Amino acid sequence: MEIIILLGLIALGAGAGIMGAMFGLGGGVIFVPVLMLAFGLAPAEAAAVSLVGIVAGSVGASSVFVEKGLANVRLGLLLEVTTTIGAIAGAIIAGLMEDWILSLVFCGVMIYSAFRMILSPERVVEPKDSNGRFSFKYVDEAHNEEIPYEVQNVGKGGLACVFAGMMSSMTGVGGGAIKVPVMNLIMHIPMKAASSTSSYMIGITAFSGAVTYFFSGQLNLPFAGAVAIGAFIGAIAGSYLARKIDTKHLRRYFSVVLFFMAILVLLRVGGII
Amino acid sequence: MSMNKSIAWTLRIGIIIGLALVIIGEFISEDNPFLYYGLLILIASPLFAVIAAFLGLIREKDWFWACIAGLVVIIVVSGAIVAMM
Repeated sequence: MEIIILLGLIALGAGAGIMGAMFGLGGGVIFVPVLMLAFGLAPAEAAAVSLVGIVAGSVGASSVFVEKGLANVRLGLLLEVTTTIGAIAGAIIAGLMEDWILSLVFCGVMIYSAFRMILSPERVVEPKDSNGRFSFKYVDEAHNEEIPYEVQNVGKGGLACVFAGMMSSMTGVGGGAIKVPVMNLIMHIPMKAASSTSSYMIGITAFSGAVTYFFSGQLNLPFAGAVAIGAFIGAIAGSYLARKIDTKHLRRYFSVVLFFMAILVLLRVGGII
Repeated sequence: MSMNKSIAWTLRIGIIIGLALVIIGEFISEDNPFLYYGLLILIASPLFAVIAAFLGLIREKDWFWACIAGLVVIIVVSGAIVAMM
């Protein structure tokens, strides 16, 4: 492989790693078109390489987030179950609805979530019983304080994740863009814990897709390797930034990324990318 | 070791071994087996971490969450088996 392509792939992977670590987003909407347009990969090859980047970034970031208690493993696993139920339901009924309608609904949800995150302040509920099943805490390193929180509206949040899973399996856009707002806006999980938990979850979700491509022989190994190296470097940098950044700023930047992703999905619906 | 620590170490070991093989395959030998097994270990790391979470929750006798983790193990493993077939 030419050195310039190798460096380009490492840089792209680093971008994916930072996105995954800071915002809990896989970023497939951004990276798949870049892999196709700039690196000349076929759509399936680009999706496969992007999934490996997501796994590498998620593993790198989660090794930090889980140890620090930022990523909520229990909640992440619960939402992984509901998301998978949604993904299976989505795969079954995918043929019944037009792709462009689903993508527009998806954009609508992203834009609505982005506005809510900019306009409404974060609400975190302090636990009544610190040993409760849904009572958790983490240490915010930006202010060096312990943040206890009780997860609210678990049923509603779980259902919303079923919807996120359906949308992602029907549109091919990852669920992080819906799951993080669901955790933060509906379940009142602090933004840092929500994005870190999503960072942990996207690795588990992407694993199934990545392993499918891997064993079907559709994975371009040198390309995937280069993206994985970059994703790991990006994840380490991103997880450091995510721990030190102020929550208010993190929410604002996340909203900007959501707007950007919505525009990309609209461009895809319009056949422009 | 706490559950969080054992998950973190599972992930760390997976990515260190996986990436070391990928780097050898990418920069030194250009040999596909290094890349192949490096990427395989890397991709499989989240699966091992879910199993570590399941075992950690059982050890903590946290049965509600252990059942949830068990469900995720079943989902992820069956997905991998379908993929290999």
